[in-house]
Amino acid sequence: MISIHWLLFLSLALFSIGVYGVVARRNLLFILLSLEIMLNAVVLLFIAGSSFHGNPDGQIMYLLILTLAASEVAVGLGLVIHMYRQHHTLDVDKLSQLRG
Amino acid sequence: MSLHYLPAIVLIITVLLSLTSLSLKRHHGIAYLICGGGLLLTMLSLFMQIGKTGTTSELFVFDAITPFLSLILLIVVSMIWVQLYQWLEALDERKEEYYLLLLLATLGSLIMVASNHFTSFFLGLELMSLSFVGLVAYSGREFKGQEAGVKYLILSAVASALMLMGMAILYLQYGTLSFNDLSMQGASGTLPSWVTVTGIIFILGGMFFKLSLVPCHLWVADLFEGAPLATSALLATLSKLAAFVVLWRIFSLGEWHTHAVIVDIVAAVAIASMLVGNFLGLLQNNLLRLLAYSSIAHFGYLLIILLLAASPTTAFLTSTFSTEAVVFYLVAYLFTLVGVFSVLMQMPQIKTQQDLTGLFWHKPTLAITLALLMLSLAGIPLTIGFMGKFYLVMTAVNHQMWWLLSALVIGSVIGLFYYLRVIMMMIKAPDGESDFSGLTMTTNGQLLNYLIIFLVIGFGTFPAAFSQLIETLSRG
Repeated sequence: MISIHWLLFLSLALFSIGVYGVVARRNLLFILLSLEIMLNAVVLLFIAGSSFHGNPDGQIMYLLILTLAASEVAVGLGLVIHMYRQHHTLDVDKLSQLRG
Repeated sequence: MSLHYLPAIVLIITVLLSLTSLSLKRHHGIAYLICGGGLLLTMLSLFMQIGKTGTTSELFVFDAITPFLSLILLIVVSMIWVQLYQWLEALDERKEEYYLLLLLATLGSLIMVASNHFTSFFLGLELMSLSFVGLVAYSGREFKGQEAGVKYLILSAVASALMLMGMAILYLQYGTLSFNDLSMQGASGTLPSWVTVTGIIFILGGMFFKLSLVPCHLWVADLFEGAPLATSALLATLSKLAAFVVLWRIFSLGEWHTHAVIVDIVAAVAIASMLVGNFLGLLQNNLLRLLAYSSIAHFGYLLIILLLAASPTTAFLTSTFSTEAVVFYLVAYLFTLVGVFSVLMQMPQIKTQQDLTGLFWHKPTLAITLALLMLSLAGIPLTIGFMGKFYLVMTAVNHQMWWLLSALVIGSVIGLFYYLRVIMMMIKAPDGESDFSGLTMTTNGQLLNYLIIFLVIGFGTFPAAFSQLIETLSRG
């Protein structure tokens, strides 16, 4: 069996890739994809914990997070379409009307 | 099935009812009344629970303080609801869905306040934040509203991903997601203790995003300015109260405060929030941005309470005193803030401090209400805000936290300056440029103003009844 440390590091690495994507990407669609990567890193860790401890809580969390990811993307894509209709671009840097 | 789940069930039924009526026939008045009726019934069912014996289940905890906090939440939502009809009529959008999203967000925050398990906490949090994305981006045809919606979506998604990561790490460490089990676990985990610290830092990071504390505060002013006014009011009250209650509950779990790193991080964030929030508020001319920065500072003050568990108690106060201080401060702050927003909703065309010039000479009631609320935010005696701050300072002095106290004092002095500037603007002689002719006073608004004055001054002058109630509840 793989040591639990490796799973933790893999998950943290995936999570960092996701965070980097959110911070560095300027396209709204790619930001949503990076958020998915972050959530998948979390899911991986939950499943690992579930099989390590032998209790089903983690797998239930997996189902709930899956639901969250789907609904978040649904709301997010709604905003993407809205934004594209108005600005004809998905560049989040164009969203800079609000400045103090 | 016990009585404790009744409020949530009533809210769910209200949501279903308003969804059904919406799909059959669109009618603004009906949606407004269904929403109001549902909120009223929920409040009644919560009111029945106050003072009753509590119960704890795997997913939820209903102790003495939970129904009280939920009731406060509902009162805040209803105070916003009172003004929603007129406000939405002026809005050039479909109106009925706003009530639906409002009810769902309220349901989510009720679940969060009562949660006793990471699963229920997570579900409540997401129910609330996803509804809030809809509420923030409600007037999507305006560029500002759209921008605020996108920013809120990214912000809340990052915050929940961070919190989930923290939960996953704690789960890997201890093999349980229940708050009760976590508090019974000692230091013995499957992995070394730095893993626990990492998990806690992830959770705290997500919470700081939700409460918009200092390293994570960048977009909060944009949100307050860009979102529709009623949504900003809800964001400032509902979402922050729910997040803080959960943070407060999980911080007393396990032995979090035995890790020196965690205590240092929270103390640094608290001091930074008090100073940075007030400094940025000083530079603001826009009223909503000013409120956003003032809310950063206020939650910085509240973080002091979290640290109390870490320092040794001295004898002259009871052990429940910090609970009383949190509850009193939260209630005082929420009522003040919801008052400010309801005054702002009565004059939608006013955006900046200059717009307020000479308001007192045209609409004295509005001006006096706003002035009292500003004094309460600043913490001037005879207002409810002063009593809240008094509790907080007394607890901190008792625990001898001098660094945090000095930051609190400096922050409050800076804050006083910009709160008083708003009042100054209102009593200046009118310069003829500001136009208040569009302001129509409604009976609802007038009544609400008097209620706010009564609450802020009444509880500020005679706090005894209220603080006794809180004392009995927190002993409960």
